[in-house]
Amino acid sequence: MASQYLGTEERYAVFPFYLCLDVSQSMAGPPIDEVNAELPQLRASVGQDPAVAEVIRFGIVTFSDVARTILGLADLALVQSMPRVEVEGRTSYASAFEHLRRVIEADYHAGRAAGERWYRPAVLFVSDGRPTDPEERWLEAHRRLVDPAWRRHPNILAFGFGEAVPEILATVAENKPNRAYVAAAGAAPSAVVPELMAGLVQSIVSSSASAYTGAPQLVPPQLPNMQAIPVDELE
Amino acid sequence: MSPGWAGPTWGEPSPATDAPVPVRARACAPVANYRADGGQSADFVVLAASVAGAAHRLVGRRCEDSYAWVRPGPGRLGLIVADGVSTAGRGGEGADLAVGAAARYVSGCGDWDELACRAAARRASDELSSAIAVPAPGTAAALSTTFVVALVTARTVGVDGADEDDRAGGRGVGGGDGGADVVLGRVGDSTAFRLAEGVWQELFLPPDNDDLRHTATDVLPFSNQGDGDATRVETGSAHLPRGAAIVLLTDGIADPLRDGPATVAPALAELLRAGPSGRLSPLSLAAAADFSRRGCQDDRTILAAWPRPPG
Repeated sequence: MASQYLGTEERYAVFPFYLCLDVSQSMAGPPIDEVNAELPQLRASVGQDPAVAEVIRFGIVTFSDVARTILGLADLALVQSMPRVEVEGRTSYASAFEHLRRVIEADYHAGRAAGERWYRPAVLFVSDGRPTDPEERWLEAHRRLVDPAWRRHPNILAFGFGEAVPEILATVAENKPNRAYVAAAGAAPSAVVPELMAGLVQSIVSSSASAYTGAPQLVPPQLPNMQAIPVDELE
Repeated sequence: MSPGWAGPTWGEPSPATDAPVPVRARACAPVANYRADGGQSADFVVLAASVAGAAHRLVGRRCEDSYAWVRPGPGRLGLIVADGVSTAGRGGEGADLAVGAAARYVSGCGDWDELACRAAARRASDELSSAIAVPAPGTAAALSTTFVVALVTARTVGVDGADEDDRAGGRGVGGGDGGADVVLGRVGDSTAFRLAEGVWQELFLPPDNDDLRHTATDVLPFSNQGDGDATRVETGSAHLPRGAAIVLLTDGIADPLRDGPATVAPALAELLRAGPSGRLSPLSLAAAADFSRRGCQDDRTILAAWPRPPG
């Protein structure tokens, strides 16, 4: 019979979400404009719902040649305005994955120090292109990000449009069912991005609800103009 | 909940508790979002409260926790709590079925030992499987629920009314010190604590305190009808000294209790201090269980019992 006294620290449950957004040159024009138009709506939808904002923490990482944190992990109810996203250079998935691992680790320890108890973090990965860095480099960075031995490894939902490659997105999402999505053939980015952003809100809200009711999970969105990338089932 | 509805604030307040509660389209007593009960006998005091969390109340859903107790004879008290899995679809119904089946089994069970706890879980699992097999084979997971049972034997009264000497041997019951012995079993993250002199002691392995919050839990029904899954039932035993309580909790209270050692834990302990004397009412317990705390919006159920000293 195990018996254990309670700890000594006050803790509060937190469900961290990281939007990891491709800002390479190919995102210039309508895609990036739509992102900038939709981010305030995401803040309003998540931040103004008290039942959701209580537990969700949201951060934005962009990546091109380098990755940056443009919104540190935050309670969206306390965020006054969302940052604007600017297009930059190429599409380094490795930079994104390496940066995410560093950021998640740092945020986790900062959260612990502030009395947070984390649910497994979620990464919402959005790209319109294929990685421009060597395959072995981004694969190694990805392997380190999702390494089960790293206890903070996130769950990843991957979304692609434009020149994004379904097989690569599936790899980013660890080939898990209903974790990778690609825009339907012929769908214009200007139509896909607003739907995608709305879907992200839906995913965050549904995931937060699942956390409150005892069975926390990363809930995929419903995206009429995107389709789940099928993955093989292992025996 | 709506201003004036909420219980005490323990820790940082939950903004969600300020939102008005919508009227559900349908409601009836068996699925009430506020439930409280209790009683006192010569050998036990029992208090129970179950309240829907803000997450369910704000979207018009029922409380998906359930509880039951049975007192089949002097000196014996069976306690059962279940927490239906919301995402399963019919988790609340599953919790009700599970505690009902387990209560029926415990009422007629002769030996109160860990095997009885395993058997109670099996009966609950079978009830879920059979309940859904006819309309939709293979979808028993819709009724998924956690489950915890505690079988309490007072040290003041014999199992069958006999005196202490008559019931020695085989039942693990010692002298009449005014306390009780408890055997426990559970599937999933509902849990049991012993509360003695204001100190909480969890009677199952608590979640890892050093890393991420757990995001999955074991549930009933078992995946097959055989006995193999009975190994998934965690079991244990404990002694309740005189004045101590056995407290069964769903994770809606257990998590903030663990996370709130300076707020929830001492406040709830202080409240329950009045339990053995009968000065704590079920309604007061339910009101307290509806406490406000940031990030805590799950359904909450507490089922507490104190063995009463002789005389």
